[in-house]
Amino acid sequence: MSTQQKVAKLEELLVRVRARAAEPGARLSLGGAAAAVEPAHAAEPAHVEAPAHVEEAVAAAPDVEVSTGELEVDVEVSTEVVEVEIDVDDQEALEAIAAAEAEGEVAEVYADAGEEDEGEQESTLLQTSEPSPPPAPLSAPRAISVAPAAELEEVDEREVPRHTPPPESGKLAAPPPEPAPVVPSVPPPSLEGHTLVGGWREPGLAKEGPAPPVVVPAPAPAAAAPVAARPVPVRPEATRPQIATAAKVASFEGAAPQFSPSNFGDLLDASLGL
Amino acid sequence: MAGPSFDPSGAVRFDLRNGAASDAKGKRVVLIPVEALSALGDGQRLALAMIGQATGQACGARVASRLGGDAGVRKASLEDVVSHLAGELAVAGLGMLHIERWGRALVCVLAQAPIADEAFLEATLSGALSSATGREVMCACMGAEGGQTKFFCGAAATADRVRTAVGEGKRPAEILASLQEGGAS
Repeated sequence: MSTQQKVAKLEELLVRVRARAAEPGARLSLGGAAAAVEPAHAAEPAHVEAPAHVEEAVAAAPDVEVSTGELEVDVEVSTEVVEVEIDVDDQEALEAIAAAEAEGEVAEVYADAGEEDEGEQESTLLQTSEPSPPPAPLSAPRAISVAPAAELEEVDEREVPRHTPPPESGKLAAPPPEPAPVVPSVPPPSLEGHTLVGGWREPGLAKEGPAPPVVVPAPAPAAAAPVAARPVPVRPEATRPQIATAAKVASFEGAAPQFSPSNFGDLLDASLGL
Repeated sequence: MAGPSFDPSGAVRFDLRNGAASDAKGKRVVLIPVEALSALGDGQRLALAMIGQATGQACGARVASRLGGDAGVRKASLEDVVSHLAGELAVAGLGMLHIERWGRALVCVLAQAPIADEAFLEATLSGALSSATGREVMCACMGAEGGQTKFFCGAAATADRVRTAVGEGKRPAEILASLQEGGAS
């Protein structure tokens, strides 16, 4: 949308706002930066002046991009509620507004649709840059800060870099991933001798150099039969009892019968008697 | 009182003119090779046992004649009887004999036996003791160990129990110990 089209659109909005201001029940309060919100039923009808200086300022600053993005204006003209939503994507315009606020030249205009209806109050902030309050239209989607011509020229002379046009809708190409910072795998001095991969390195050897790459062996193909683990030789671990080598384990009671044959006949008789 | 010691003089007499051999009492004997006796052991154990019994009886008879008969043998000391009996068996070439007393049991131990047939040796010792003492004595082999064979000497029934125990694999000490307690098995 070109500047001329925007101006034309704003003019149309201005006309509509004026028409609404003329109607009873609508009030436009213009004041300084500390303008208060007044109820709609309070007294005087709004007095709106023609925004001639705005038009002049816009005409005098053809190079200022008010909004390079899409300007969505949703105006609901009603005797009851005035709701204006403006999206301004131009950072430069916002900066100009901020500068104007700093100078105390911003007038806040609150348009009140009135409390008599459902009690909803939605205020629209209209910002203008003027020593005297400009006749900002009530139905304006938002106040567009227009710097004076001198400022605009000054801004132009500063060769502010122009913004690139907004990206078209659609997916944006992801930026290339930034390479990860290379961090050497050398262990900190506190891990003297111990590597990060669980091994141990001789202290003092190649401490500052990069650690050798860890070679992970590729897994064996599935077709190859797993190599049988070599059986670990089993060795006995004997546990010897600790038993005293000498002890009285036997006890005797009584005495064996003594047989003392006096001759061979007695022994023979005893043996025959068994 | 010490009895007469064994005197082997004149135990065997060889009559070279007539070609005869005899014991001290003039009974003829025959010198038979050991192989001949061993050959009998294969199929004729009874015959071999009879030879052994006869040989033993002859030895026992000579002991008794020297010691004053069977009563004299009974009254003789153990050493005297063993000396005469062992002497007679040695002259006959049947080996070296000594006696062990295991409690109340009489055990004859025979070494250097010419024939390892148990039946032959049992019959020889049984015949010698029975002939010397005038009592029925039966000897039962309890096994050989270290070149010596032990024989229990006693009643026939007890000898049978000892043989049964030996067949069960019991050792002589176990058998003799059980005999002291009134049982052999």
